[in-house]
Amino acid sequence: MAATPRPLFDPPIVRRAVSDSFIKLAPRHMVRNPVMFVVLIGSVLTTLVLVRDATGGRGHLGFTLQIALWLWFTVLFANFAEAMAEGRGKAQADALRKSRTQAQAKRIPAAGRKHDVEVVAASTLRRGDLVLCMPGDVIPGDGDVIEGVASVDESAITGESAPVIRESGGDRSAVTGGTRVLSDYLVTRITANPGETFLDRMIALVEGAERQKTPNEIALTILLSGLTIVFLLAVVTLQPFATYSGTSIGIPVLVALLVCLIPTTIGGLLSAIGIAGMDRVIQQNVIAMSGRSVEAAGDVNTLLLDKTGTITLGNRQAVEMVPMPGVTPDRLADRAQLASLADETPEGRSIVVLAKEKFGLRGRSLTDGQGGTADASATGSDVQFVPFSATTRMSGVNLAGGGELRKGAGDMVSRWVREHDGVIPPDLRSVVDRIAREGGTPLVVAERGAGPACVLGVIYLKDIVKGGMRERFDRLRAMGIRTVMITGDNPLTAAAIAQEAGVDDFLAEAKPEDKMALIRREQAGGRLVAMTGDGTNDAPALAQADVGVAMNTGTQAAKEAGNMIDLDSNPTKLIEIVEIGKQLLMTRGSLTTFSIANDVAKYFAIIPAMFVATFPVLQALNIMRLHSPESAILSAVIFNALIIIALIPLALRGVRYRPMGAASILRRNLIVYGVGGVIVPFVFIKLIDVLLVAVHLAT
Amino acid sequence: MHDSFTPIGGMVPLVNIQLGELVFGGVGAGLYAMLVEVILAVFIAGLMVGRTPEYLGKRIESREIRMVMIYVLVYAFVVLSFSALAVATPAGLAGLNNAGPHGFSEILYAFSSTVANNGSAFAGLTGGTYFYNTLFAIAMLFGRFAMKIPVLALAGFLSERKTSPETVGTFPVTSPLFVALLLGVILIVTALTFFPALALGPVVEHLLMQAGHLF
Repeated sequence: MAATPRPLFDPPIVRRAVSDSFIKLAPRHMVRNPVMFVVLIGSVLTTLVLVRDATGGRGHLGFTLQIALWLWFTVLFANFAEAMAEGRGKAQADALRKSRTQAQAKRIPAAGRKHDVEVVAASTLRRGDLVLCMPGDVIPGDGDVIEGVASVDESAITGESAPVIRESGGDRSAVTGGTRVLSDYLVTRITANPGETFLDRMIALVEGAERQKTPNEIALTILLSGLTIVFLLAVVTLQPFATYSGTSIGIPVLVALLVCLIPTTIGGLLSAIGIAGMDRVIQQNVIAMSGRSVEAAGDVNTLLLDKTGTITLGNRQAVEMVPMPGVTPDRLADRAQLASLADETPEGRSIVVLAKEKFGLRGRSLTDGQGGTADASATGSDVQFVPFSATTRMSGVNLAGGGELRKGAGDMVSRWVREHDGVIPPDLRSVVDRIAREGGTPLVVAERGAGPACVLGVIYLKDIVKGGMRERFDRLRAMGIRTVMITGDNPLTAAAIAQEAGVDDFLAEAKPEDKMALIRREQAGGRLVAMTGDGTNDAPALAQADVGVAMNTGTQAAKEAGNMIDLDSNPTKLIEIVEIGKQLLMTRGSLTTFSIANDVAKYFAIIPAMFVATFPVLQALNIMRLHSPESAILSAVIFNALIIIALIPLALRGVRYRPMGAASILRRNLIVYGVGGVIVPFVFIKLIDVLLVAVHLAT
Repeated sequence: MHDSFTPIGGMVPLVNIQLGELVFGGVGAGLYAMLVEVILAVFIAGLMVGRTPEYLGKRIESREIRMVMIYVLVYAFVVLSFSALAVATPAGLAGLNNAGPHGFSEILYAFSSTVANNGSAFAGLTGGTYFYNTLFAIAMLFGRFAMKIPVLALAGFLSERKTSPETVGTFPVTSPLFVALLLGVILIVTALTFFPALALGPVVEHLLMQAGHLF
C-alpha cells in the first residue's frame, strides 16, 4: 500500500472505465447527478426523434444523427470520468484486498487457553473473539492486544518495512488486520466485525461504494441543478417565442442548446473530482473516514501540532556543558560521560558523544576498565546503574568505591545534593534559567565521594527542530493558517522553541484538558481546528477537533475518535492533508467557473443559428462567422462533449496548488479559468466548425 | 411605427429590470438583488481559493445556496413562462397593438416589470384585460413575496452562522478583481438567461429597423 505513482491513463483501468461508462447509464445511477440526467433525457429524446424521422423519411437525418451521437458521447464521457476516478481507487483497493485473501485465524476460547486453538476463516470472526497469532501468522482482523509482546510487520498497510512493536496495555496495543507477526506471539481481541475493519472502510471509500456527497458537493449540486432549471426554462419557453415569431425549432436543436447551456463540464466531472481527492489522501497513506473530513481540512484555520516528534526530533541532544566555579570543563565532561555510559536513552548517548567530540574523551564502556581520567574505582562490574524514574527524575551510577554520580532535573538533583550535606553553588540557578530560556533542557550533574555532595555543572540538552519546518509553517501562514505548538515544557522553553521553529503560537505545560479548552476556544471564534494525536488521552480532543488525524501506532480509542488515520504515523502529514483538501475545493471552483464562462460562446454559436432562417439580419450575432446553422450547432455540441474528456486529467490530478494568499490565488485562477473559460470555446468552436465543413459532415 | 421606445432604447430599461433592478433607482429590492448576486459570485468563484466560500465571515453552504437559487428561479420562471403563455394564447395576443419583434418586446417588458419593477408597460400593450390583469397580479405576487421570503431566510441563515475571522486565506470581496468577477456573474448567470428572448425581441427588431423594416 505504498504510495506508488500510477500513470494517469493506465490501460487496464481505461478498459474497465470504458465498459463502466455504459453500465453507469442506468437511470438509477444517473439520477444522482441532475445535470447529466437532463443530458441523458435529451439524448433519449433526440434518439426518438431520429427514429421517427428515419421511419417517416423526413428531416435532416444526418444532422439529427450527429447531434444524437454527440449527446450520448457527452453522457458517456462524464461517466467515463467518474469510472476512471473509481478505477484508480479500485486498483488500490485490489492491492489491499490481496493481503486478506484466504486469511485463517487461530481462535482460542479464553486468554489463558493458548493450546485450545481452533482454526477458522478470518471472515467468520466476530467482535470480541480472541485469536492467537504466532510468528508468520497474518493478524486476521483489527483488534487490541490483550497478551504478549511481538514485532509486527505492518508494511502491507503502511508501506514501511521496519517492524513495529505491539504489546498489551498502553498506547501500542492496537493491531490492524492484514499485518503479520514476525516474532513472539500475540493474543488479540477482535474489535471489528467482518466488513467493518479499517481495511474494509478504506476499500469502500476508494471504490466509491459508500461515497456520500460532502456538504460542499451538495451545495454545488444545488447551484448546478438550479442553473439547469433556469436554462431549461429559457429553452422550453423559446418554442412558443419562436412560434410567435413565425418559425419553429426542431427538438434536436432545442436539446442541443439546452445541453450546451447547462453546466455539463462541471456536472460531468464533479464526482470524479471528489473521488480523485479521496484517492490522493489514500496515496498519502491516510484513511479518511469520510470525504467530509478531507473537505474540512481545506477550511482549517488553526493547526495544533505536538512539539515532540512533529516539530522537533523525538530526542534531545547535548550541545554544551557548563561547569560550576571551581570545576574544570574536563572534569565535568568526564563525570558526565561516566554518569551516562549505562544510559541507553538517546539523550544519554548524546552526552557520551559530546564528551568525546569536544573534550577528546573516547567512548568507553563501564566494563572495559578505566579510561581517560576516570576514577580508578570505576572499574569492572561493581558499577551499578541507577536508572531514571518518574519519581526521582534522576539517573546516574553508583561507583564501586562508594562514589555516586547523578544527573537530572535541577530541583531534584539540588535536593539530592542538599540531602547529602552539599551546598548549591549560587551560579546554578542562573545557568539553569538561561538554558531553559533558550529552549533547552538543563540537566544538572552532581557527584558524591566520601565527603558532602557537590554540583559539577549543567548539561545543555537541546530540542532539535526538524529541518524544513520553518518553511512549511511559512507556507501555511501564506494560506492564512495559524500553527500552535503544544508542549509539556515550561513557557520559557516553549517560547524559545516556538520562535526557532517559526510557529505562530504555543501552549506550554499543556495537559489534555488544556488542549481541549484551546480547541473549544478556537472553535468558538469561528475557526476550524485540525490536530494529530495517538494516545488515549488525546481521544476527546481528536473527537472535538474538526479534523482529527490519529496515528496508526496509536490506541484504538484515539483511532476511533479521529476522523482520519495516518498509516505512516507521521504527524507532519497533517500539512499535506490540508493541501489536498484545499486542492479539492480549488479544482471544483475552477471547473465550475470554466463551465459557466463557456456559455457565452455557446450562446453566440447557437442563438443566431436557430433564427437566422426567419430573421436573416440575426447573422450579425454570428460573430464567429460559423459556416451554417447546422455546423454552428454541431460545433457547439461537439465542443461541449470533448471538453469533458479534455479536462479529465485536470479533474483527476487537481489544479496545481500553490501556497499563496487568497487574493493572488483568485487572481490567477480567475484569469486561467474565468477569462480562459470565455475565450477557449470561441476558438475551438470555430476550429471544429472549419473541420466539420472540410470533411463534409455539415453543410 | 413605434408606440414607445426605439428597440435598443427599450432594451436598456428591460435589461436593467431583468438584472434584478440592481442598478440605480432600484431602491430596497436593488440592494437585496445585488446581495444575492454577491453571494452567488462568492460561491462560484470562492471555491477557487481552496476554502468553503465565505462572505463577511459567514460560510456559504447548501441552505444559503438553496435560497439564492429559489430567488433566481422565481424571477426567470415567472417572466419567461408568463410571456410564453401570452404569446401562445389568443387572449394574450389580443392585447398587442404591434406585431413582430416589437410586440414580443412589449409582452416581455410588461412581465419583467410587474415581477421586478413597478408594473409599467410599453405603450403598445393593452394591459387592461382580464387576461393581463390576472397574470400581472400573479406575477406581482410572486415578484414580491416569492423573492423576498428566500432573501429574508437567507439573512436569517447567515445571521445564525458563526463569524469566521478574516485571514489572508479569506476570499477578498473588496478588490477591483471582485468587482470584475461580480459583473461577470451578473452578466453570465442572470442576463444570459434572457438572451434568447432578447434576441427575438429588441435585438432582431433593431437589426430589422436598420434594414428599414418597422413594426
